[in-house]
Amino acid sequence: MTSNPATSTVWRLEVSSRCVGSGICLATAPRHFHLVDGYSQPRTREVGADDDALAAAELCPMNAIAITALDSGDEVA
Amino acid sequence: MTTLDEPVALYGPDFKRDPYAVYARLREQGPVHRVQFPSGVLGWLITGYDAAVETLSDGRLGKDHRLGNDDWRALAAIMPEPQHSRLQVHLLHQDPPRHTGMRKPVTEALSPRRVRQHRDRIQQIAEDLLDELPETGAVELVSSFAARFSFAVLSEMIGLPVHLQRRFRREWCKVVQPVGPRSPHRAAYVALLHELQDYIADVVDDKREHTSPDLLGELVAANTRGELNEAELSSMVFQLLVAGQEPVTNMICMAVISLLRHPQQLARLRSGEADLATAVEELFRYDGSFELTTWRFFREPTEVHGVTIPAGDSVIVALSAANRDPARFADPDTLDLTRSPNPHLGFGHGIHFCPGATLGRTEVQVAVETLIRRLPNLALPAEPDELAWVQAVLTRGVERLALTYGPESPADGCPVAAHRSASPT
Repeated sequence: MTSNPATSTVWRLEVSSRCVGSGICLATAPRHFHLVDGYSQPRTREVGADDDALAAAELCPMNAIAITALDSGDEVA
Repeated sequence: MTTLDEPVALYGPDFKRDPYAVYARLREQGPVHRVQFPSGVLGWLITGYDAAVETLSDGRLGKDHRLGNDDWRALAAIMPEPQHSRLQVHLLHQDPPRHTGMRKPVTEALSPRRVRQHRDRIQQIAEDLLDELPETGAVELVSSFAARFSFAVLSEMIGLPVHLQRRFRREWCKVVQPVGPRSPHRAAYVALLHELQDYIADVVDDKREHTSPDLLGELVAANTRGELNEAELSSMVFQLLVAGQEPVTNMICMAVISLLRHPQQLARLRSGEADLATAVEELFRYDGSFELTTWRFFREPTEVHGVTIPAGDSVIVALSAANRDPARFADPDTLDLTRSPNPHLGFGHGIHFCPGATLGRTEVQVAVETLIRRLPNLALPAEPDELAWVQAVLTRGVERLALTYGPESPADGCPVAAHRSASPT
C-alpha cells in the first residue's frame, strides 16, 4: 500500500463532460465549484485537501468529479 | 408588487391540463409569486431559470419540516403523526450535514456505473412486458406498461424480494399526494398510510433476516451499525419505494404524449437523426413529470428579488416554468429533440438533485425506444383536453393513457410513423 491519497495535501479537481449541472457540488463545496453555462467547473484546478470537495465528488450523481492527489497521481475520489 | 395581488391558484383541471400559459404569465411579471395550494396553504412560487437555480442553491433555505411556521402547519397537506416522524425524515426533508451522510449510500447504489451494469436487464424487463401485448390493438399504457416497468426496475435495483414485490400495491404511492387535515378524504388517506407503514416494516424485517449486497440491505446494515436510526431507515425505504417509481411512470407517459403530439419530432427520433439520450433530455425539459419542487423554508424573514418572504412560509420552485424560460432556452415552447446543450431542471438542482436521475433517464430512454420500436403506428386517440391529468400538485402525469397501435390502424395525421422501425441499440 502506498500512502493514503486522501491525506495528500494538494489535490487536482476535474469535472468531466458527464456533468449534467445538478448543482450538488456547488451546494456542497461552493468554494471549489461554480456553474458555467449551466454546468459545473472547478474554480481552481489545484486545491488543498478538503472534506467538502471530497463530499462533492462522492455525492455527484454522475460521478463526474475526479480528484487526484497531485504528488502521487493517486485517485482520491 | 406581487404580494398585493390575489394569490395564484396552482390547481384545478384547467391549470393541470396546461400550466405553461400560467407560468409564462407569471415569469413575465417576475420571479417571486404568492400562490395558493388546494390545502389552502399560501406559499411563494419561484419561476424563471436563474431564480430557480439560485433558490435551489440557497443554503439559507432548509427542507426540515420543523422550519415551517404555524400558519403553514395548520393547513399543510402533510402526513399526520406518528407517521410523519417515521416516514418523512428521508433525504428530501433533511439538511446538511445529516443529509450528506445519508445520501452517500443512495448515490453509490444508483451511480451511473451501477445503472450501466443493469441496462441489459432493464431492456429485458421492457421487452418482456411488451411481449404480453397482442400484435395490434389498444393499450392502456400506465397499467400495462409504465407502472409495471418502473416498479420492476426499481425492485431489482434496490433489492426488493419477489415475495414482497407481489404484495406491493400501487395506490400506496398516492401517500405522497397527501390531503390536508380539512379534507373529507383524510381518513382514507391515513388508512393507506398505515398499510404502507406495515409493508415497510416487513421489508426491513426481511432484509434484517436475509442480508444482501443491495441498497435495501445496505440501508438496514447502516441501521445495525448505528449510522441510521429507525425512523431514518423506514423513511428512506419509503422514499425509495415512492419517489423511485411514480415519477418514472409519469415521465414515460409524458414522453409518449409529447412525441405523439409532435409527429415530425418522433420521425427524427425513429430515423436516428435525433439521438435517443439527447431526445429524452428534451422530453424531460419540454414536459417533465416533476412540475414543482417540495417545500423549502427560510429560517429568517428574507428578501428575494424585492419580495420579503416571512420565516417558515413555504417556498416552492416551478421546475416546469424554469424549463420553459426564454431567457435560458431558445424557443422554449418548441420540442426540439436535438436540443443541446440542455441544462434543464427536470431532476431539480443543488443538494437535493434527484439521486436516481441516471436510473430515471435510463428507464425513460429504454421505455421510449422499446415502445416506438415494438408498437408500430402508436397513436393517441384522445384529444389532449380529454387526457386524465393527474391532479397532484407537484406532478405532471396522466392517470390513464389509452393508445392504439399496429399496422392495421395507422395513426391519424401521423403518416411518418408508418412502417418505420428503429433498430435496437
